[in-house]
Amino acid sequence: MKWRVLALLTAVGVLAGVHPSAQTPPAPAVAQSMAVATTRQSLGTWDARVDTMLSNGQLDLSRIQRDTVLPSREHERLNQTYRGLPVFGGQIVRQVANGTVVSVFGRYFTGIDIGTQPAITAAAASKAAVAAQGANAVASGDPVLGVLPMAGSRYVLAWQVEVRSPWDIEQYYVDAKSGTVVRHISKVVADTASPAIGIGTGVTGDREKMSVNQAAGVYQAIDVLRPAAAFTLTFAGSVTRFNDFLSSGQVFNADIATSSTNTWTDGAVVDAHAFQGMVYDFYYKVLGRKGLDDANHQVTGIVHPLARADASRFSSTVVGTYINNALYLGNGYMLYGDGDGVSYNYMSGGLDVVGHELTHGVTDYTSQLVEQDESGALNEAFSDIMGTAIEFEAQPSTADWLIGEKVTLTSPGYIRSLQDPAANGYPDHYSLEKYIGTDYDNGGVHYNSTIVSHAFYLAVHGGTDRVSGITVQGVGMAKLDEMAKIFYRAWAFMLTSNAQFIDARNATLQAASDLYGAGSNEYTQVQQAWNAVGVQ
Amino acid sequence: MRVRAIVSACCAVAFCAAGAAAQTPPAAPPAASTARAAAPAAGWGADTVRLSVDIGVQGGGSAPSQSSTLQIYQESAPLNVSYGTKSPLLLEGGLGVHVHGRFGVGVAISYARSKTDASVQAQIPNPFYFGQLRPITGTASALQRTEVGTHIDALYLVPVNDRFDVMLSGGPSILYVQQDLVSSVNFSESYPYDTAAYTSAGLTRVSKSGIGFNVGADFSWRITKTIGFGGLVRFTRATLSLPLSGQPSISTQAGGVQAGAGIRLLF
Repeated sequence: MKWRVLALLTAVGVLAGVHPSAQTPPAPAVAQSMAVATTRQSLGTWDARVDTMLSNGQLDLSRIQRDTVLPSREHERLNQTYRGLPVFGGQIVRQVANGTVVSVFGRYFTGIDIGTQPAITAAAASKAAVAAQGANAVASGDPVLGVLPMAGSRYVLAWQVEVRSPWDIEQYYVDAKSGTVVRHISKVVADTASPAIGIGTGVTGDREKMSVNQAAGVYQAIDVLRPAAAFTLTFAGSVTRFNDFLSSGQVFNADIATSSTNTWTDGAVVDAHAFQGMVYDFYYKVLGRKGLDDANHQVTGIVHPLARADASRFSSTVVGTYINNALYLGNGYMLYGDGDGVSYNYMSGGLDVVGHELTHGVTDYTSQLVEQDESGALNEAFSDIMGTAIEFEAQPSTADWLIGEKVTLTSPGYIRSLQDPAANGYPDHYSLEKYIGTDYDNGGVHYNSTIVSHAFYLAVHGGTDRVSGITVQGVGMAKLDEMAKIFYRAWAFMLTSNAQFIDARNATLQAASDLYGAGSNEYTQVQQAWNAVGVQ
Repeated sequence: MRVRAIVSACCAVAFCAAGAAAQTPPAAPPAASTARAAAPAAGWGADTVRLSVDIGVQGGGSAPSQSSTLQIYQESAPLNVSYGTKSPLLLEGGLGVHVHGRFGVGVAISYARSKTDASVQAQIPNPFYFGQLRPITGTASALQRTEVGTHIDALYLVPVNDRFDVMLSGGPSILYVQQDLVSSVNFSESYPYDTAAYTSAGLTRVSKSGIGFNVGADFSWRITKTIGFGGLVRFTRATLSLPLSGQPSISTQAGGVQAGAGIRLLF
């Protein structure tokens, strides 16, 4: 079964371990159910009663199952019906040995007295269920009209509709008279979520906790403890698999990273999975945001798209894009390259890198800054700013103002510096802006980003801009979160897709004023920081 | 050889009754004047065996103090438990045999059981991050502790008057303790997992025996030749290490001051 990166609407059941069934038992507390459990004395009575119900249409033989343990036995599974309609959850199983009934078990419902003519069509029921499930939901299969036992000794004529949405399959029951949803049951979470906390060794030997899912005999890199599901997949460096992914956008259940024990040793998997969770925590706890779209959009990280060992086989473009790089692919998908082992380590090994990429997802769902020229530089700057803030939040003992220091193997040992951009050839003042309107780096989106991210550094930490000589006091490291809120608020809610640096200045000042007051120190430091980098 | 014995026992039925019953003194002896008329002289006299049945209380016990570590979310979770103390009801029975002069030997068995609460304090690790412990506190209720003592004594009789004597005793004791210990904690939590709340404790019943000592005195007042009543005071003590799987053993002191009253049968 397959599902698509950009159209996760179907067939996610297998990935989540769903076991579809024709009739999902309704929730408990239903009306007038009668448990059937035969004793030796009552077996004959029940056997005869089952035969009677079969003959008068109250039971319908669904299937006969061969007993895999006792080959001489068979099990007749009988579904309860009412005037030809299934009674959801009413089912009896009769065990037969060489023609002789051995046992009768099950549950059927009594006292049903409702009309069986629906007032709404199957299509209308599907529409109601899909609407209730929300965005990206689709109905799966044909709705089934039946009798739904409810609490309070009553029954409802209902349409059973299966609705699939990204990472979820829900069974909806829509009242066939009124068209309202009377019940829905997740077939995914209830059946499969078995959270466990594992431990793993990351790319740089760091120990990380892993929020994973325990399945039959294996642990899966699926975070089911946070509100937004997070998955870590691995392509195991398979060129064939990666090419198929690039061409089709499809991933498979088998792509989920697993471990036979809950001690994880693939550093790329460990860090990608753990860091994705840390990014969610930062956005939730510091900024009050629920995931990329503020609606707990699922996150999927892919590691080992191509093998490090194969780096020499590929062109410099391929290596630069898929090995020595990390990418946000859209719709919550990240790709973390292996690194060639010479210039870069496994790219998921840097929390700031993971935070950077996922912040692109936040931008995708908010300002949608165009990845070109100044708007693109604002996009990259925001990702660096949030990536750094996340690092200070989750790894305070080792955090710094460098980007990619954990994954960069060559001098100077990092990709960019918010503290001293010029040390690695990046601009720290607006006067040094370059490549606007060119094809290089999409108009210098990475290059020029440090003008903005350096302003953030100055607003928090304080310092003197190398070019302007303007000194900014900064709000202090203890108030880093406050400054992160200002920049987040500006970027997420005030900037538009083609925003320029001056817009960012104005937006952050507005955000600072809104949050802390126009006369606040926070406002002053933001103003001074922009002045220092020449954006005014 | 003339033999005299003491048997003390606490009543199991009474043990299961309300705690107030434990404090009720034994019923007054019937018709003291009649008994006095039939009673022989005190001391190792014509009787050779003394049996008694006592009900009472055991006090001065020492509850175990538990400081251990659980493994939760791949991290150590400190656990501290302060067990409550309660003076349990005491049931005792024994047998004394005259050996020579004022000396004898005896054996007594005491049984005490109580249910107490324990104060539980734990630090629950964050599921996602190392070193972010979340404190929880709560109470584990109705933890059962049972002590059974076997006391092997040398006896020395001190006659006071025709009806009253005091039997001094001392010797080794074998004390058996069965105790409910907190072996795990259950807690509730939800995202973002900044806090956790205690919900209950998982209990494990462990037991251990050890050798200690006892010293005591039995006060007997003879009503008839073969029937009397009396009281018992004994101090017994043994230090035991209760084993808890996967955890350091937990030290506890068994025994304490045992006091009871009941009937005496003399043969």
